[in-house]
Amino acid sequence: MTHGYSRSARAAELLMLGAISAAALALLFEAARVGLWIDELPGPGLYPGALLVLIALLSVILGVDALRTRTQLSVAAASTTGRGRDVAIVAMSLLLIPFLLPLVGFRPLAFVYLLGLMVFLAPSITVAKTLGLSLLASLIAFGAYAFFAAAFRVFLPLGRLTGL
Amino acid sequence: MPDILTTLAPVFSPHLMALLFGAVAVGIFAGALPGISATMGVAMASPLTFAMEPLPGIMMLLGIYCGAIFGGSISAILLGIPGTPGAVATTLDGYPMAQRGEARDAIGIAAVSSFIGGMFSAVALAVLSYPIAAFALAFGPREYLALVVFAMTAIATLSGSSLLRGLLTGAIGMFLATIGIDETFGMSRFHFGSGFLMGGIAFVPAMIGLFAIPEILVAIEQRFKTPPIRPVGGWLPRVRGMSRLLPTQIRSSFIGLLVGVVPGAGADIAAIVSYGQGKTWSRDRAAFGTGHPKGLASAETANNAATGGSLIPLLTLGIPGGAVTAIVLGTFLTHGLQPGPLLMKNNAELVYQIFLAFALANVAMLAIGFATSGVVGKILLVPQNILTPTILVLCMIGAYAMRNNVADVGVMIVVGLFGYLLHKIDYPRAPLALGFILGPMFESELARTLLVVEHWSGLFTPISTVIWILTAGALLLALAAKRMRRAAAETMGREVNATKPQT
Repeated sequence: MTHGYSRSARAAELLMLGAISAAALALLFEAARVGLWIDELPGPGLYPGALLVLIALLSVILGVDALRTRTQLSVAAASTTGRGRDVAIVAMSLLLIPFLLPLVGFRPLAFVYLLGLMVFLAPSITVAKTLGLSLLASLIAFGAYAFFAAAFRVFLPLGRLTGL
Repeated sequence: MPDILTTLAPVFSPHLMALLFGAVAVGIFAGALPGISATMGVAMASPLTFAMEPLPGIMMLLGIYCGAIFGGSISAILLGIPGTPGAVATTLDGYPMAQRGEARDAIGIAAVSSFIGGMFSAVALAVLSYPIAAFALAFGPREYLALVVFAMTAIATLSGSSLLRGLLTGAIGMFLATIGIDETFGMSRFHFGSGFLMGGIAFVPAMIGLFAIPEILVAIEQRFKTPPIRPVGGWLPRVRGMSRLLPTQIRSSFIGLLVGVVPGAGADIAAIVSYGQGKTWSRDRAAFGTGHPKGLASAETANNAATGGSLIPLLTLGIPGGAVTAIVLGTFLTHGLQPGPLLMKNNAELVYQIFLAFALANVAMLAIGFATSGVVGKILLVPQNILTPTILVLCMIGAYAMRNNVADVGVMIVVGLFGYLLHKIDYPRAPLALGFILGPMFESELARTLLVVEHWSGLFTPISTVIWILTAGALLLALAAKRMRRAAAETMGREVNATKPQT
């Protein structure tokens, strides 16, 4: 099962497996609380409890395997150096969406995200391009709102602060 | 049997025909774009079906599914990059044909072959479904338990390079499905006082997150330049010499259908197996991989035949065979319909209409594929910095549309980030989806079985024993499929390396 891959990937894998096995063991208590056995029959906690044991076990096995695996810098890792920061920025911004959406509303939030990402990901940017992208972002944000409301009766949220 | 003409007439209504053709067109365009898979397209469209009646909703998803499987061949031929996993084998001969200036012929072969494979599986679906469902009416809890475990062998097939990794993500999916109300006892589990978690994690937003968000983040990370697109060279594809390919297409249709029925073995495996068989049976097998029409026809016929094949266990037994049919199953359940023998018995009209809709989707695919092949090539030129944010916004809409709940958008993002992490460390995501949808079925059938069985030997009835044997066979097939995928990846690496986009 050994194979070579980057140190950062191995570290990420070990971190993930550690978190999963810790969470699985912690959740076992909750499974026991809802009841593993009731009147000599399996209770509501038995099946998820068994799954949690399996998850913890598999995480440990895979973690041991990952520790034994030799690491090497992969070509793919080298070629995306620097872009990891971009992904991290976008990922962090995504986590803000559930909090901002009810406050700001779909249309302004979608416009800001669209424009922000379009500019962020553009290979080169000028004032004229930014204006063009702004127009496109507003068309998509406001157009999508109207289209989904009319065609699919999906009414996207309005913002408590903006009313939009 | 209901009056067939009266039953089928609603499918031909202008509204539903427009919806079907529109869905197929969307599927073709989405499938043609590298980074948008058929699974992603169906996942994103699924929430939109909740405002519809079951038939239009299912028709829309089937249209996108059929269209996307064919659409993947267009970027495979013009770019050398498969738009969907099912188009991997298409690249081997389709792209060399385009490089020789035969792109019109290649797209014509792909369109006609896809149509033949799809129609073959549509006929098989209509002919085989009722006998299978009638047989399944005799199933009890032990048979259903064996059947669910059989379906779960798909987790092995979808596990990629490591079975243990697939088992882990599959088990995580099964556990996530336990959050919320337990069906057997009516008790709420793992909600920790949260009203949102008490309702459980919604399947569709989680699937949009799992399959769409990682692709978006990968697109941001890679930001590769689109390689030169081979010109189509004309408005319509060419269909000359198609009759010589008919024996290949017939054989590939059978292969695609059979592979499609097996849990976890989807369009990509069907195409690879059929391509291999086509090469074996061909007199000029050395020409395969250099732009041989039979190679292209083998792959494209089989990948579309697998779409109908995968619907057979879904409709007759209620068992999804892969991520796409798992999402379609989720849509059925949301409309209060349980696919399986009882659906065939109690909603026969709807089932017949679905059969017809699936056949018409393949007709639409042929027509739209021919009409738009030149235009689709232009779509491939849309810059990543416009496409990626637009897809992200569509995902937000899809996740919210499920229950008009902002928290579902949060679920999509959290699951999506987890899916991205899984992708980066080469852990398969599809088993998580399958575990999520099969987990509740497994738990309820296990509970029912334990009520009737006193000793483990009671698990084995004549029918359930056959299913357990098929399960063992499917596991062996899963191991063989891994080898086939690995061999295909090695071949692809050699053949496609020269055309790989530079980061």
